[in-house]
Amino acid sequence: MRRFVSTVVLLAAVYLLTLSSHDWVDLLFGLAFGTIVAAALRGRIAAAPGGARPPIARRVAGFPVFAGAVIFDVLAGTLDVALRVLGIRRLECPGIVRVPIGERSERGIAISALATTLSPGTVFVDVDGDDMLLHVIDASDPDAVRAKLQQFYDRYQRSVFP
Amino acid sequence: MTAVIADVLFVLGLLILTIGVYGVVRLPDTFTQSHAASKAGFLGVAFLLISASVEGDGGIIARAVLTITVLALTTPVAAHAVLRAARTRGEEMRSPGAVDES
Repeated sequence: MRRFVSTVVLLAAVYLLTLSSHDWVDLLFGLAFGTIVAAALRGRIAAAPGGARPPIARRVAGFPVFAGAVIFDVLAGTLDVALRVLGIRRLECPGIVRVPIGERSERGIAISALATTLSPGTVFVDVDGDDMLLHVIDASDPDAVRAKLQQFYDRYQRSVFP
Repeated sequence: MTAVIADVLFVLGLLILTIGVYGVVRLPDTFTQSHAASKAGFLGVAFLLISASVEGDGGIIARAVLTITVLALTTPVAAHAVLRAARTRGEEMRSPGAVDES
């Protein structure tokens, strides 16, 4: 039920942002449309299986730090890829690297995939057994790639999307 | 001052998009091309939208936030789908010294 309500609120927010309106009539329409859409998709928005999650306050508090770290990674990664595209930095040993899933839940894997793929320089390819396969623009040291991703998970993601 | 900031962000957005297209032409295989194509698209468009929002129009800011959020959620999925398909088809990695731990 909580997930259904949060989906309706999210869809209403999208409706209001699309209209760029803060009128209460639009809010009511947004909630009504949101309820219809959420009810129609009810089978698809069931809670994802997963273990124990950190308290909601800790997750909310950690989210801005996580989002900031992702944005920093996106900017730094874009610069790196741009330099390689322009030939200023050499394109050396790109390739697919295995990264252990570790303690990540199903949602944690999805968020890790989203965060690493959004940042230029790494693209999530697939899950293979207990590992994620990532294509990395510089895979000359796969262990360093694994260590960096694990450090990112431990420092920023674990407390928000374990 | 806001006009200058908007201009700088706009030019930066166009520059990132152009580099992305150049990367698709220049990089040697699907795997590396996807880095240039997908992510440059996201950040380039994000800069263009932020540039349009700098003037402070509430309606434009709301739609820019929505568009950037949707792009942030969909661009990685598209890149993942392309690379997964390339791997499934056995696409060759033609980059020098390519690593394959799969």
